[in-house]
Amino acid sequence: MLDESLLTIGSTSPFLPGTSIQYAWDSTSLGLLKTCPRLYQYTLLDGWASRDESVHLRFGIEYHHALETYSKLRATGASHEYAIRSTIAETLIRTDGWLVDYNTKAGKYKNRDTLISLVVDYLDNFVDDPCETYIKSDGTAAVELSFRFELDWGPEVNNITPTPYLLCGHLDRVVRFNDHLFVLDHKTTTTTPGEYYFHSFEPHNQMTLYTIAGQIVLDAPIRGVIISAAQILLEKPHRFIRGFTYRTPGQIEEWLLDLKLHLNLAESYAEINHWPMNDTACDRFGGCKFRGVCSKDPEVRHMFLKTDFIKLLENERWNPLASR
Amino acid sequence: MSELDELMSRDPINLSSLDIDAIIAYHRKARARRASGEKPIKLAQPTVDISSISSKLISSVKPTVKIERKI
Repeated sequence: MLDESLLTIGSTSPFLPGTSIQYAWDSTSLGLLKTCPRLYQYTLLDGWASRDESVHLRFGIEYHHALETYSKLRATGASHEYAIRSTIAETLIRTDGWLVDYNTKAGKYKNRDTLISLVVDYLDNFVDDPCETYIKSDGTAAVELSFRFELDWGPEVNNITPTPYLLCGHLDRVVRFNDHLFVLDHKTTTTTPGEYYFHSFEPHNQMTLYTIAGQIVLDAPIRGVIISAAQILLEKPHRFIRGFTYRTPGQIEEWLLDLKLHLNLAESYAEINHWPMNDTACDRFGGCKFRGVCSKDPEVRHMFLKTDFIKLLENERWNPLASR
Repeated sequence: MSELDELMSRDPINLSSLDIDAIIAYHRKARARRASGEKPIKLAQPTVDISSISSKLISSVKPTVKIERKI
């Protein structure tokens, strides 16, 4: 049974008032911190973003929204053709006026046309989806569930009312597959989702958190996450491959212990207002976007940030508490 | 301008169910063409990312409260 009191709406600051101490964490912010505290600082605290990032983010949001719309319609008994037509109509309205630079790799692969084509192909491909959407007690489909739950410890800060840490996020869909419950997570990629791709989710910060979240929100033995990968291709049909990643109770316990240590370190960094570089992570994922900044003398880094990145408004920055 | 370009350039509020069906049918045919090895037809391409331009004009405030704590 889904505990809907653990679902969330609205948006407030994820930081303790007047500090850089984050008390509400999701997999994105936690992943940044674990990868490199300086990457976390530039992205979450200072709000620096690359120009391509807006394209990836927008594409991901619209893709998820379209699949959510379709799943909800099908859960009410709508036919495939009716649901796909409504989904595409809504997606066209939502993306009206969205223009990208087709001369960049991001814009070439992620634009309004490839979005519509990917959604049509995905929905046709999974017209008889073996993963059955879980139906909540109110009769609605368990898609795009924004969750938050408290941990039994919080930041230790003088003169501030004790606040527990929150873990938050969005579960794309909860499904029943072969009589087991799973969280299903949509991913888009331009690379081949083969064995190497799926191995990258074990271990994986987001997938462990989603397994925990699924277990707490549903109070059910969620076994892990189904990763539903969509490869965007320009000259061949898009490819859709699903992979499974499981978590044992021991792995979950270990992840939570590690989390305590990571968050304690984050408090320390915030208190001294210094977020150290992890200079062994600069090469990961094809190279960190801030490498060109971190490689410069500290005195001139701000100039390179201003030249190569855009600074997002506070309300445009990544916020784990924002509902979708 | 192809039929799809024309449909995609319209105000989506004014698209009829038949127009939406035509867009879906186009993508299904394109998928079949790609599967058979045929090269896709190039669509008209707009070239400006308005959101990134508007974001360039934005600045922000950094949190400044100091907290005393031994690490």
